[in-house]
Amino acid sequence: MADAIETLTRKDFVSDQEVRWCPGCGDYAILAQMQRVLPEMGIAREDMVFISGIGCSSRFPYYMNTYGLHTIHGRAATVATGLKVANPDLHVWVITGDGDSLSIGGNHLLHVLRRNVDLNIILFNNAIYGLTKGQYSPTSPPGTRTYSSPMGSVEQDFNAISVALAAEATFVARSVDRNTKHMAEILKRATEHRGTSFVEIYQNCNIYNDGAWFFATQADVKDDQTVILEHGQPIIFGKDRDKGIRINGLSPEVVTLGNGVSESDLLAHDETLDNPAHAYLLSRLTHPDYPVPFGVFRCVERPIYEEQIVAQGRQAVEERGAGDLNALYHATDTWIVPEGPDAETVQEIHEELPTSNIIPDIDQEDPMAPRTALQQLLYDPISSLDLPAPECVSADTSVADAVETMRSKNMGCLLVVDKQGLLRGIFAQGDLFEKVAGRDIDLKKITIDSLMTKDPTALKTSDPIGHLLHLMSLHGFRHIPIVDPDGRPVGLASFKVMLKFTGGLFSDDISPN
Amino acid sequence: MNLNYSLHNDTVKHVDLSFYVEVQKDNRVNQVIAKMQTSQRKCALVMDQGKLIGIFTAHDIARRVIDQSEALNEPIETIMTPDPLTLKSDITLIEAIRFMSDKPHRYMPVVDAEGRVLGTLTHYAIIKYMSDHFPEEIYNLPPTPDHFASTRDGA
Ligand SMILES: Cc1ncc(C[n+]2csc(CCOP(=O)(O)OP(=O)(O)O)c2C)c(N)n1
Ligand code: SF4
Ligand SMILES: [Mg+2]
Repeated sequence: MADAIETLTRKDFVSDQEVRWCPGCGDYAILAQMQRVLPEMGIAREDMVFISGIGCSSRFPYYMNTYGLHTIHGRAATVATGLKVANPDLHVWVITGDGDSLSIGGNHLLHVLRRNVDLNIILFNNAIYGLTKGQYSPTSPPGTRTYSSPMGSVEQDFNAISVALAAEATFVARSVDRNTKHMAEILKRATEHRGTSFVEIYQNCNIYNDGAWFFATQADVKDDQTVILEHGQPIIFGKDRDKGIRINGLSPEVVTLGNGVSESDLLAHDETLDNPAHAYLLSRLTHPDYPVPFGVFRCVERPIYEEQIVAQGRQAVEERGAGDLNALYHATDTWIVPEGPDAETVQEIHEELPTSNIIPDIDQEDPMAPRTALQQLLYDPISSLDLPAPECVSADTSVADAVETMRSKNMGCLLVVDKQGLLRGIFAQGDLFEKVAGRDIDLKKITIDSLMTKDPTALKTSDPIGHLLHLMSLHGFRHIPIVDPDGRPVGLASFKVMLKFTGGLFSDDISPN
Repeated sequence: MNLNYSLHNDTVKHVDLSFYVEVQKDNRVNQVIAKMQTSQRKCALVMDQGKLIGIFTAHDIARRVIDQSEALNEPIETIMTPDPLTLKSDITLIEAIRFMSDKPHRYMPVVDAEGRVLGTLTHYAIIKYMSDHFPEEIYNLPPTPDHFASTRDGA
């Protein structure tokens, strides 16, 4: 284990691998949240392992700058269990899909859950096999038409949360790719739980099952069709928060508050109940009859598998001494199989697969069509923004001088460059606020080198504006340096620049569609 | 969902106004800063008997307090910006955006018709509100723009 954990940032978790998911895939949003949340968890990167099976979702480990294993279809949980027993100090994540963990790996999932190995399982549920190009999965509802069920699936689907509860999982939660804030909270809760954390994330496969979860994500309907579970709180939902869940006998029913129904009549959520019946009942709230719950269904304590296994091993050694593997092998009858004829040389046949047209070209658009305000906001290059020139200083500038420069130039941040003029850091008012304000620090004596954000995320003028919005809204970066292809700052993008651009972009001539 | 339509029809009430802390006028500057730091809010609204009388932000800290350690023990009242500009809760977002992008203000208290404080509108909350309209185009992006592969992976 690393002794001192340096403060990590999102960038530390971004690997250098090309991300091979279709543009617009919900997997990206999950990746972004993971990379956002992990730096806050105080776990060293070298203590972290991402283990996946097979599927689009299972490509995840490549994109995390941690240890990772892309294993066998359905067996991520199994490999993870082995790893955790061999090295219980590791912080292990299992990344899997609805096909990977509920079809071929169903058995393995059940057993890791009941054993309560201390790891976190994230199941990307897109209700389809994405990687193999769109066959129905165990979470596709009956009637789903896919390439492998052209007349509609005749199979009853699984409810991943119900399955996990039935398998005695100690932490069971659900979130959705498009509610990034909620997902971040759930990922943190999963990290904190001791024992197996099972998190189902509704993920949109925009190529083979687009819209499977739109009932839970479209702004105009989601509040009436979902409910956010909060421990200790009555289960209330709806755009006007005027509906709730009441228990009638053994069945839940949707009631409207008022007219004699008050909050105290509603079912209150308790994630800590030892009896899983409450959580199971909530898991049966399904669309369209009920609002679909998001949040933590169950969070209980139970002894951890690897701790007990390791303790038993230790006890056995204490009582009987260390074993001898060689002696064990030869303990009973052994014999030697004579060597056979040389193995035939297998000729490998490589077929050239066409690489183009694997996915439909969703970017195709009429080149003559005028660009809408929206296209400009999302896809136009950053060079079309009116960016202020950055104020650049060197890393040995004293904090006192930096404060003075920001003041006189009226800048919220300074960019730090090296002798070649290449971007090395960013020093912002936020750093003063977080690291200096209220502390007894002599600003003349320290340089900004120790306070700045080193090697900050920067974009190029040719990158799309949408990526600025991505970094700003998901990671809260107020200032983003814009650099030339060599890495020299040429501009400074900020919240303000974005607002100004937006304000000018949309005319007041609007139609409600 | 049409962002243009939403910006013209949703009001400032519809964005997350929770990015602020409330402090009292006689709190000392260092108490206020500590409260802002622990709650990770860069804006403090200064109240006097339930009424908004001033605003104090991370921007003010960087410009007016950071190298003035003697100010830390003063009551916040002496260093805040008094009588801050406020936004009425029923103005549309496009109006708020245009207003805020012309002004130096990063944080604007939002008040209802009776003058009660409902929260604080921040640049960040507006950006987040806009991005929420395009999860696919904004949230579902790779970590860096050049991370896209030319073809997707197949089994
Ligand atoms: C042993 C084995 N059987 C079948 C396959 C074909 N296969 C690859 S991915 C996959 C299903 C993936 O579905 P899911 O886990 O939902 O991942 P997604 O692509 O949807 O993220 C299948 C059946 C395989 N690779 N290996
Ligand atoms: S096929 Fe679907 S799940 Fe797979 S990368 Fe493409 S959009 Fe994502
Ligand atoms: Mg799938």
